[in-house]
Amino acid sequence: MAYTRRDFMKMGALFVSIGVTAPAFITRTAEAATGTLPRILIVVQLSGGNDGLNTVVPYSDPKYRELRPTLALSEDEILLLDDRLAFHASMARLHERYARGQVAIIEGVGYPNPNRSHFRSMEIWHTAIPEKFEPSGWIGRYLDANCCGTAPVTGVEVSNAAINIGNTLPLSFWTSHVLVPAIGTVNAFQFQTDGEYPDDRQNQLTAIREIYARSSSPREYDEFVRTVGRGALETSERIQQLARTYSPRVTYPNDQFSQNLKLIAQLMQADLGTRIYYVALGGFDTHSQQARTHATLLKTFSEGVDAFLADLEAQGKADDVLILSFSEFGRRARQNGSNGTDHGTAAPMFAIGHQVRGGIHGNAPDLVNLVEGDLKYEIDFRSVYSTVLEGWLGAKPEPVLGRRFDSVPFLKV
Amino acid sequence: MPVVAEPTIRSVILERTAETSRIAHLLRRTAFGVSPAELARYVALGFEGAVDALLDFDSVPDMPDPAADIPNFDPERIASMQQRWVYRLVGSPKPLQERMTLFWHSHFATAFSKVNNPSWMWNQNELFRRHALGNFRTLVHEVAKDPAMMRWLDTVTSKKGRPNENFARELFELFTMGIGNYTEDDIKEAARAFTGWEIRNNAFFFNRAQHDTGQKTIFGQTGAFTGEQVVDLAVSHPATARFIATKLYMHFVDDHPSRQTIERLAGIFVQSNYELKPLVRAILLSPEFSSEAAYHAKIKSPVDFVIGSVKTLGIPAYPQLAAVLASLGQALFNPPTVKGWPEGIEWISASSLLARQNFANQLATGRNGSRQPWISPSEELAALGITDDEDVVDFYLNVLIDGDATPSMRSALLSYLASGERTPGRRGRDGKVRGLIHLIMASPVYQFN
Repeated sequence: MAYTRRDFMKMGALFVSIGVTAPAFITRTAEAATGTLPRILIVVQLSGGNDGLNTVVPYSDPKYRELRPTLALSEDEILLLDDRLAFHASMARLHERYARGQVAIIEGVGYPNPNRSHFRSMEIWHTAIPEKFEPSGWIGRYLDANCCGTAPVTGVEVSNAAINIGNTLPLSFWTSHVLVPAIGTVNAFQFQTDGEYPDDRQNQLTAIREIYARSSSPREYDEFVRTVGRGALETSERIQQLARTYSPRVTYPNDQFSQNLKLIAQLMQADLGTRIYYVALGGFDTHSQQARTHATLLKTFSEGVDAFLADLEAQGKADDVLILSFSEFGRRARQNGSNGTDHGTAAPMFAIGHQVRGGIHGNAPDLVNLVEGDLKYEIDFRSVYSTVLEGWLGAKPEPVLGRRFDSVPFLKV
Repeated sequence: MPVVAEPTIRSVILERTAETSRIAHLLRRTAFGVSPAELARYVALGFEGAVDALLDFDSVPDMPDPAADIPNFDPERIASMQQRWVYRLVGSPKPLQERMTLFWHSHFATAFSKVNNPSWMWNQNELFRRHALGNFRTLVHEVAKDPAMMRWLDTVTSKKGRPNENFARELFELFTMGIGNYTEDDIKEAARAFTGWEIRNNAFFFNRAQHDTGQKTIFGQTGAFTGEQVVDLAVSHPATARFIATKLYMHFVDDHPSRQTIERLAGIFVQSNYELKPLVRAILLSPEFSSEAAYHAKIKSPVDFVIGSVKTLGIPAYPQLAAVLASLGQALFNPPTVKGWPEGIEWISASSLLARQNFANQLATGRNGSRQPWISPSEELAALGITDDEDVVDFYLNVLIDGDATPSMRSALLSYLASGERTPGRRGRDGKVRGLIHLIMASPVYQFN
């Protein structure tokens, strides 16, 4: 872990060693690259290691019940997908969308030599470089290569091309050139000034812009903080305008995950030129008493995604959106002694939206040929990223992923 | 903020020396910052005297339990526990003890979201406080048997024949050696040694019948190891001293430890049989700690930012501070993962930076529950006899950021102070000085520790 942090910090140093150049906005280039309206990607991170076997359940495999004496889901706790696989019954809303062809299930996704540490495995999914520690994320490298003008990028840029919902930025977004804003809530997202002295607001805004425009001290993170701060001041003004005009067409559930998706719908309305949004749902590390926690989490996921798509459908925007979910690993095939499951390996991913080829891609999990008690992966997660980069974002995958990966045919387009 | 016009405050702050800045740096890193009056007292001790005063807190009488000052205090509510700790962070006469308590909370990161027992969380906090600068080996042994930890990492559910790997894995990966120094098999074997560890009557209980007494092979050694022996093996592993020395160095100094420095510190740690005080003393007295490279070279965590701000401005603790910390991403007793909180630039995002700036605005221009302003800068300046614009700007630059500002930042602040009404009062001079304090706290350099 110490090693990792050091490298993280080296990247921080890289931010400050590169000069800032004139803004180069992203939207236009992205539109020029694809020749169509920008498509939008929403990455959903299920943090903690989602139990794939109790999400997409191999219900007809007798081995499943043998490995999961108390955790195996019974006939009335599942919703059938085909003669082998079924959804956890908490995912009723997604099951309806599955029936309408809007859910692609990519089975058995993982990578070679799986790592069972949450942090290392999450880093691997974020960086898409399993072999070594890499300080930039796959989305970050996509932004570097595709987003900031035709000339090679030479400066640090705050880009709204991608936005993370939540206060801290996941490693996926780390790049050498582009800083991605992270947004918590719309109301708090503005520079507030003295409420008892409103006449002074303009003076304060002028001063803070000046302070952030030029070096405030010669310290290591000065340019990093100033770059984030300038982006925050600019983006917040646009978002405030939008927030006054937006009203959702459906009622979102009250949980934080659904509210975050609502915020994404709001930001999409703002037309910031954002093509990638990132949102996390945590709590999947179910080492003990898994059943109820897992059911609640899957329900939150399913109902939040459904409400979000329904909102976009009502606005006529659903065709522009692809939702991609992943978790850092699945869980051990055999349950543990605590009615839970320990860290495992391969698991299904979901691609959801109007533009996916609904159905099951890949094979049902092989519960007989386990490796050290864990599922063997069949599809490399970088194949999924490659498909999204090329098929959805219209970008060349090799510069982002380092080499070619076969694509998986889960997109209509 | 009642202010006594000690001439020492004026001279310590306005006639800033390099030694004063060095001591202010020490106090930011170890004590979340201090008010100008306290700074003057530490400056009188000199740097090494200040280090001693901070480290040797055993003889300092503790503050009374703040529970009595917290409205609707309820030991069965986690919010009350968070407030109780916030009051200690702000008011403890042993600030380094609180800093280390927070360090261990993030190191042995345990979250209420799963433990779901406020008094267990508080007892764990007291454990960290008791061993804040004590013996690391003792600390790990006690943490392993701490009920909150045992529930958090599922030790309680680990039975003979059905071991749960969660605690064994994190013991190796996060608490002692760090990743890369053990195998998956080491974890599986070690997990067997913690079977039969249970909680009865809110305390550790060894259930012999559920303990796996068989042979285990861990780090190439074979034996019928007990959980205690596994803890000893992990603490004694050579990687552990380096791992802890690195983490403490990065916590106190900067993000770029050299291999030689870590070897030296790890050597001191092992020689003292894993006593923490000699290690932390060596870090604080190291040339690296007082170097230009370490100065303002870390990003303030929300606790650094919030607790540091109220301490520096002389505002007493108040209950809502716990919620402010949560909104900035650092809910006490609820670290996001077992890895604890990040330590650096991960804290700064567009939304968290705006949230910090807005909290600074509240302190500088807002009012408390009794409708009184949090701070009284006009009275403070009058008491110290500071009147002209340059002195006012320099006074607050020195109090808040050791005067570590570029000429362009200083001139932006001077122009701001000169703009608008010159009349006295809330919408004149007093309002401008509040705006000035807000702007300095909203600046990039105030985010540095």
